[in-house]
Formats: sequence, C-alpha cells, structure tokens
Amino acid sequence: MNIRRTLTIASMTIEENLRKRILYILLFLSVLLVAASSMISTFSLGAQVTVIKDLSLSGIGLFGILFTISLLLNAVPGEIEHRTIYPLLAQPITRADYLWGKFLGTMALVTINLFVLALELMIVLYPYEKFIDFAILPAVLLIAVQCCIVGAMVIFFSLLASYPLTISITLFLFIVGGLSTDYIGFLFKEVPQILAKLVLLIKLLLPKFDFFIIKNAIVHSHKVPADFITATVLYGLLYVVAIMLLSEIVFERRDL
Amino acid sequence: MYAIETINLSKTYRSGKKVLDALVNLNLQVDDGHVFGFIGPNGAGKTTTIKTLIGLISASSGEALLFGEPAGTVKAKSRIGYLSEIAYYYNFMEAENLLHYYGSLRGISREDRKKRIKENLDIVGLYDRARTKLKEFSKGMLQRFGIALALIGNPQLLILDEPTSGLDPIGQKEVKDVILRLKSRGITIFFSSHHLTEVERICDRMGIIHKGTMLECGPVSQFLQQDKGLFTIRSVIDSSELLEKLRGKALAVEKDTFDEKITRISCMENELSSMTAAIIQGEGKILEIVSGPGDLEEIFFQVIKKGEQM
Repeated sequence: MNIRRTLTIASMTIEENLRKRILYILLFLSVLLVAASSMISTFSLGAQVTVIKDLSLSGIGLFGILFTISLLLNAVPGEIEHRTIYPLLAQPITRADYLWGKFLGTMALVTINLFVLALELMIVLYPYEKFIDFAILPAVLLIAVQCCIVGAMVIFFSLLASYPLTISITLFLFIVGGLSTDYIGFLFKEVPQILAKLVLLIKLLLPKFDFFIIKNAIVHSHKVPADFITATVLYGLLYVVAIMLLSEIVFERRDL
Repeated sequence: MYAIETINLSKTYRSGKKVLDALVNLNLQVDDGHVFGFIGPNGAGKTTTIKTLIGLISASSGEALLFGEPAGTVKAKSRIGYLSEIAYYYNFMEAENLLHYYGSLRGISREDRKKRIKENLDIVGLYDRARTKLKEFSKGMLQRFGIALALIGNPQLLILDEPTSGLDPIGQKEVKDVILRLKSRGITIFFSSHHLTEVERICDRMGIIHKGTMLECGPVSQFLQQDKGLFTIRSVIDSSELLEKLRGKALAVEKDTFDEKITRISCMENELSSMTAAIIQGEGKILEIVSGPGDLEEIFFQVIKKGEQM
C-alpha cells in the first residue's frame, strides 16, 4: 500500500460521499436526536444531564453504524457495477491502495460527523453542567473505532455478497460481538447445541464490541482511564487491519 | 523488448458447470512504436485480452508482459494509458478536476499536471470544455476525454478498447483523428475494433482473434496484398447450371457475406476473361470486378471462416 495514492483515493471518496443524499438525511436526523434529547430530558426532573448523555450517546452510536453501513455498502460494488473502477485500476495503483482509500475516505467522513454530533452534545450539555464536558470525546472516539470495525466488515462482505446479505451478516456479527458469552448461552439454550457452539465460536473470533461502549461511565460522570481508551483503540484498529487484509486477499483474486 | 507480449495466455471462465475458454494460448507481440489493430467478432476475446493486460482480470495460465514487466503491476501500469469501450467516469466532476485526480494518482506535481492537462485537452479538442462537468459531455466528447485521461501520465503505450464503439460517424471521425495525431507523435497504440476500415487507415499491423485464438497476425499491407493476382467478380447469377459450370473453373464460388443474392467468384488474372464471358453468356449480371479478395472486411471474413473450419 502506498500512502500518497491511498490518501488521494480517500480524498476523492470524501468528495463522492459528500454528494450522497443519505449522508445529509442521516446527519439531519442525528442532529435532531441530540437536540431533542434536551427536550425529552425535561420529563426527568433532577436527572436531565444523565438522560441527555444517555440518549445522545446511544443515538450517536446508532447513527455511526448507520452512516458507516450506508456509505460503505456500495463503495466498492457500486464502482464495479458502474465500471468507474476500470480507468481507476488501470492507473499505477494497487488494489490495496484502492480498498484502503475507499475505507479511509469514508471512515474519515463518518468520524467527522460523529465529532460534529459530539460538539453538538457538548453545546446542549453546557447550560446544565456550566462547563465544557470533554469526557464526551473519548466516548465518541471509541464509537468511531467501533464504526471502523463495522466498516471493515461491510467492505469485506460487500466483496462477497449482495447488499441485503452484507447488511444482515454485518448486523448479526455486530450484535453477537456485543453480547456476553453467558447471554448467548441463555439465548441459545433451546436450540441444538451445535448451533449454540457455532455462535459461541463466531463470538470468540469477533471483537468485543461492549469494550467500545463507555456510555454508562460517562453518563454517571465516572472517569475512564486513558490507558483503557488507548488499549481499546489499538485493539479495535488491530481488528480493522486484520479484516482489511482479508478484504485485500479477496479483492486481489477477483476478476473485474 | 516488446511493448506487449503474451505467451500462451489463456483465460477460462467458470460459472457453475459452465466453462468458457475466453483465451486459448494466445501469443501476441506488439513492437514499440507501432499501431496495432486487434480485430475479431463479438466474444472473440478482445476485451478479455485487454483486461488481462491492464490487470483487471488474471490469466488462468500463460503470461502477459508490458515492456517486459508482468501485466497489472504498478510498474507496468505506469507506462500505459487505457481507454475502455464505454467511458465510465465520475460524471459529477469537471473534466479538468478528474484529470488532476488521475494525475495526482500518478504522482505528477500540480504544475506538471496543469501543463499536461492543457496539452492533452488540446490534443483531443476539448480545452474549451475543461471546466464542464462530464455529465454534460456527449458520448464522442467522453471518448475523446478518455483519451486525454489515458495520456495524462505520458504513456509509452496506449491501450484502447473499441474507442469508436457506439459513436455516430462524426464522433468516430473525431476519435480517429485524435488517434492519427497520436500515431504521428510515435506513441505505441494497441486498439481493438470492429471497424475494419479504421484499422486499415490507422494501423501498421493487425491481428485477427477468434474464439480466443489468434488466427492471423502481421502488417496490414501484407493482409491486403496477400492474394495478388487474384480477382473477385461480384455478380448476380440465377442459373444453377451456370453456377455449376463456374464452380468447375473458379477458385471459389460463394454467396456474399452481406447479400445472399450476390455471388462472389474468385479467379486468377489469366482466367478472368473466360469467366466474365461465361457469366455473360449464361445471362448472369456482373456487378463489379475487384482486384484481390476485396477489402479488409472480406479478408477478415475469410480468416474467420478458415478459423471456424479448423
């Protein structure tokens, strides 16, 4: 992979994504949700800050996943379908440059959107807390890393499967990755053991998505150690690299 | 070293139980500085060959080399420019901006890019449309823009996949003129085409591919002169008796490829007068007598027919 070429493709990907209507629809809805959390919190006297943080961070997490899936789902298959990939791959670039460029460009845009929402949340919280709540930022950072893992999964499955299947598999893995092993055991106690074991095996291979959700600590104003944040970011990025390398292998062998 | 060389290049597509041999041991050499016409009917393997050269598909076996480098590598691709059959670009972009994008992918500095963009858009006659969005371009303009884009890296070799396909006669002429301009600059050009007159006019060498195999390859002039002394009489003959009589004398008597009413009779120069006399006596109608087997189109059909019989 060549950094210059990858970043050039990434910047073009941002430009391409900025033209997608879905981005603005989701951005509008997510901005609305964070703003609305302040109004909803008026029904919970004395716990307004908690409700605003809880609702908003949940919303930011949800919209992060929606941004990621909607922007990355047809990033590569769309270019193959419209054949805009032909003149591009005829340039002196590798397929890895292309794949990483698409991924980084999209994820950069998703991350910017998430931090715009974080900024909005900090503004919404200011009248209640009377200080700028920077504790929101690490929570949003981890949401962004979580979105990167989901994004890498979307890229990988979109190279192999149809759009509906890609969405289904990614969401299934995201949900299974977020469940505890005990809970999976409980959920699958009625089904054949082989299926339960298979789901547990998948769970073992998946990242522990619950690591990336520090909402409860933030909501209750508990301090999250910087070491934990750093380790979780690195843990997430490791998964991103591993999934993207698998995507590279699949894409490298594909006839276009 | 050849600009393009393929050694026993084969490509097999598999879909379930279906197997399609798109290329079968294709051997091809294109010298540096030549304009090579790659012709063949639909499904012959032209696009598959080109896609393999670009690295869009991988060969099942054999080798494809560009300037001695394996096809599809960054090093090989840095020396080529490519234009696909139908132009597929980000149509929301202005012509100039897309050229900047492709130029920056090649690592060309902004200053150099500006210079080259001006030059290339000039070559294809689109300089005044530099700030126009590609979605506003006509098909012909898009193909010319595609050539400007293929030239952005100052390539030594241009690979054009049916560059005039789907264009109206004006668009075809414009693209042909651009290719001729590039030919005069000494760029090696490899292009596939259905238009044989185009190949005849532009190319130094040509190869005819059919069912994934190269049937014949050589200088265009050699194709046109290979049957010197041969004449073809195009005529309308209703009498089966006369046809039988001519079959006994002529080298070949066959129906015209395009018009079944017309019979094509091939004979050598020394038999031409007796043949024409026989046709007139048998109340046949002579439409035309041409030297050689006809035009490149007819040669093409003959080669393909030979290939079918193999």
